[in-house]
Amino acid sequence: MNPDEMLNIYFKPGTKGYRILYFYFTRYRELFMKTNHHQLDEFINQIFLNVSGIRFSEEIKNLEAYIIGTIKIQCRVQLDLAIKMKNRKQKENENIEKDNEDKSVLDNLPGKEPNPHSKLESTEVFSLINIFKLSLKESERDLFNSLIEDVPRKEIAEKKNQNLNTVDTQIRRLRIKFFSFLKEKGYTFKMFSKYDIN
Amino acid sequence: MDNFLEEYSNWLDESEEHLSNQAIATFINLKRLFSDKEKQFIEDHLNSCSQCKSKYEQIAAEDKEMDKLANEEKPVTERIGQGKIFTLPKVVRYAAAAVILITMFFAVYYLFIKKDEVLITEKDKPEMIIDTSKNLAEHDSTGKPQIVEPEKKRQEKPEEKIQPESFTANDVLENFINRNIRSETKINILQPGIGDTVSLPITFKWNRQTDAGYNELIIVNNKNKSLYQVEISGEEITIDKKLSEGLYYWKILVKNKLEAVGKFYILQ
Repeated sequence: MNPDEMLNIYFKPGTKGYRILYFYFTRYRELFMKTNHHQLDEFINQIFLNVSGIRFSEEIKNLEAYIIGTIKIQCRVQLDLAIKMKNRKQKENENIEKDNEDKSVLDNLPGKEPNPHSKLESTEVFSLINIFKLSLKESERDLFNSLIEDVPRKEIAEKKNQNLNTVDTQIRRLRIKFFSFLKEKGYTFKMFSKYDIN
Repeated sequence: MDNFLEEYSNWLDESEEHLSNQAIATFINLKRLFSDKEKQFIEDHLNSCSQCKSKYEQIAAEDKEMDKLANEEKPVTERIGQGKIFTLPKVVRYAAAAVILITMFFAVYYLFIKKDEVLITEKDKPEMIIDTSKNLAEHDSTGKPQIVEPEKKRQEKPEEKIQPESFTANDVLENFINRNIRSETKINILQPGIGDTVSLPITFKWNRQTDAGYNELIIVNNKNKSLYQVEISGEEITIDKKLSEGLYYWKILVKNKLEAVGKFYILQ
């Protein structure tokens, strides 16, 4: 599904996706408006960008259910971000009180977005990995899950009735796909410094 | 990536971090894509951490609420597929709307028009009158006068066959009637009243102030031609003589002197 199609079907007023987003923004309006989204449109645009960036696998049978599910997850991603920003602001305010008044006013201004180089929390990686799985074919997903399960490559090859080299090639392709997914999503290697990504 | 996933796998084994909102939402919505290890990680944590368990319940309830809200109306994708009318050209849609409006107008017009109301055409006009004074019985429950046919027309419909000459008044006899009424002679006519329309048999009634001896009752047509003659003694007589349509006079003679004259009409 191309982004225009997705916009018309799930993000225009009156659509199922729009109603979900409207409900969610209204519920947490106060928090969103004070942190990362001042308006509903801004909130919807951000989620549209996040969801439309996912290349949903053509093998997915019930695409609508997965798109709606992803919209709901993205609502919570924005909520987590908002909570993070709120906590950071509180911390900053406490620091400002402690700091001497010589400090520049500009230094005390809170950034609108979270620091792009701040390290990802593991639970964020958890969501990210599972959203990545939406773009995989079933065979690729099985392979990816096997790697998460720590299944040795040799065992994977036996299970799939393939030779080790073929499995290695598939793993290499998966690696490229995963990195390009992260890049498209705007994540940098620094954010994964906790993990040995290279 | 192998190291990255290894690290991730270790984290799943060892982590005691609280679950974020997005991790719980991912578990609820993308559970089917999870590896067994990931499922186990979430389930174990939810069983051991009441804080995350309560967060999970809150998010699950919120999701249900969102689904309910989202399904209140059918999504646009379904509406486009089913409601073909909305894909029709504007002209066709406007025409359809116009037809519907006109149909509704006529439906309302015929629903609310009074059922007992009669449509008066130009042709009917001279023959119809609205009787607002006499025909009280013809008023409807709201007191509004109804359109009625004139009494004459209702009663005298076969009049087309009547010969007008037979109804022409006889001036001489009319004078007698008037004199009779004005002068209060010895004999007063009671029945039929002057000008009554009667049917056969006819009962004639009168009264007399003095006993005047030999009396006679004569029925004449409007040309004063005698049609029936009978001797009377009391104050009432019934006559069953066949009379055609027309104006008739009846006379009472006392000792061969005309004392009273009455008139009546016969209609078939």
